[in-house]
Amino acid sequence: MAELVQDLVSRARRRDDQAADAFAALIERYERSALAVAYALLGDSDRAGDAVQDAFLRAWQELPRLQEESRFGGWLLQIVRNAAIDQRRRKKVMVTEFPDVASDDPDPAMATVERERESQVQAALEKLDETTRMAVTLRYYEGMSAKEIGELLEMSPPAVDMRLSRARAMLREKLADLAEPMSSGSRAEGVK
Amino acid sequence: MTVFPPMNEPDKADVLISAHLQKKLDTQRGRAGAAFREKMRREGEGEAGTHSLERARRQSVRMLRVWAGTASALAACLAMVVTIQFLRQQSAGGVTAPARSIPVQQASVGVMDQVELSREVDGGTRILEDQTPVRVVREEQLRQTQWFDPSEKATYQMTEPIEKVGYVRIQPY
Repeated sequence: MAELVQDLVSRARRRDDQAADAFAALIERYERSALAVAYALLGDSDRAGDAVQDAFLRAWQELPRLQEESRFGGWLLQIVRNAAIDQRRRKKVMVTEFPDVASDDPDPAMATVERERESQVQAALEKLDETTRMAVTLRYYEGMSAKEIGELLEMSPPAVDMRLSRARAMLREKLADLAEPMSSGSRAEGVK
Repeated sequence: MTVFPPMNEPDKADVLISAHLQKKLDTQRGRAGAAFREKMRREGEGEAGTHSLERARRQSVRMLRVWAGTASALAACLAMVVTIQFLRQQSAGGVTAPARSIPVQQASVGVMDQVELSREVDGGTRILEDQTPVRVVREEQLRQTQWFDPSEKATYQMTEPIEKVGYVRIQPY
C-alpha cells in the first residue's frame, strides 16, 4: 500500500497528463482520513467537507514542494488541519433546522430519539481533547490501526493506544444510557 | 498503574460512534474529488483561452509590423525621389538654404515637394468607458514640405509632426 501511495505521489508530482489522475486516486485514498481529522477539529460535517475540499486543492498546489514522498499522508493531514483551523476562523453561517412536520418518516418518535442520540454522541466526542478526538475519528471512521494513526499524527503507537483506551472508557461511560442505533452498518468490528 | 479496558470487543458505545461518524461524514465523500476535477477542467479551458489570446496578440503584432514596414518603405522611396530632385536643382541653379523660416502663405510659389514619414506604434491595450477592450495604435507622422521662392531664389523647408491615435477593437475570449 505504501509503495502504491508513493507511486501515485511521484506521478502526481510530475505534472504531466497522468498527474491529475494520480492525484484523484490519492484523494480517493485519503478522503476518509481527511474528513475524520477535519470533523474532529470542527465538529460539523458540512464545514469538515469544505475544509477537506480546500485542503486537497491546496495540497495539489503545494505538492511540488513536498520533501519526502513517503510522508505524503502526514503532510496532507497537516494541510487538512490548517484548512480546518482556517475554516473555524471563518464566521459560521447559522442554520436553524426545524423538524419537518410533513416528513415521510414512518416513525417520527423514532426520528426524534435518533436526533437526540446523535447530539449526545456529538457532545461526548466534544469532551475529548483535539488530538484524542482525531485519533478516535480515524479509528472509528477509517478503522485505522494505532500504527497508522501514529504515522499520521506523528505519535508513537503506544501513545495512540493509550489515548484510544482512555477515550473509549470515557465514551462508554457517557453513552451507557443510550440505545443502539437502528441501522448499525458500523465499522466497530475494526476496533481492536 | 492504570489498567485500560481491552478494545477487542466492540460494545454499544463503539457501534454508536461508528454509526454516528458514518452518518455524518459519508454524505461529504466525493466532494473533494469533484472540486479537483472541476478545477482541472477550468484550468484546461483557461490554458486554451490563453493560447488563443497569445495567438491573436502575435497576429496583431505581425500586422502592425507589416503596416509599419510598408509605410517606412514608401517614405524611404519618397525621400529618395525628393533628394534626387533637390540635388538636380541644386546642381543646375545653385540654390542655397534659407537663413530664416518663412510662413507658407507668404511664399509666392506652390509646394515643390512634400514627403510624409510615418510609422505605427503599438500603444498597448485599454478598456474604453463602455467596457470595450481595444488596442491603441499611434500613427506618428513627419510631414516635410519644400518649396522654392523664385523672388528670393531660395528653397524653403517645413517639418510638421503629426500624431493620430486610433483604437482597434480586440475580440474578447
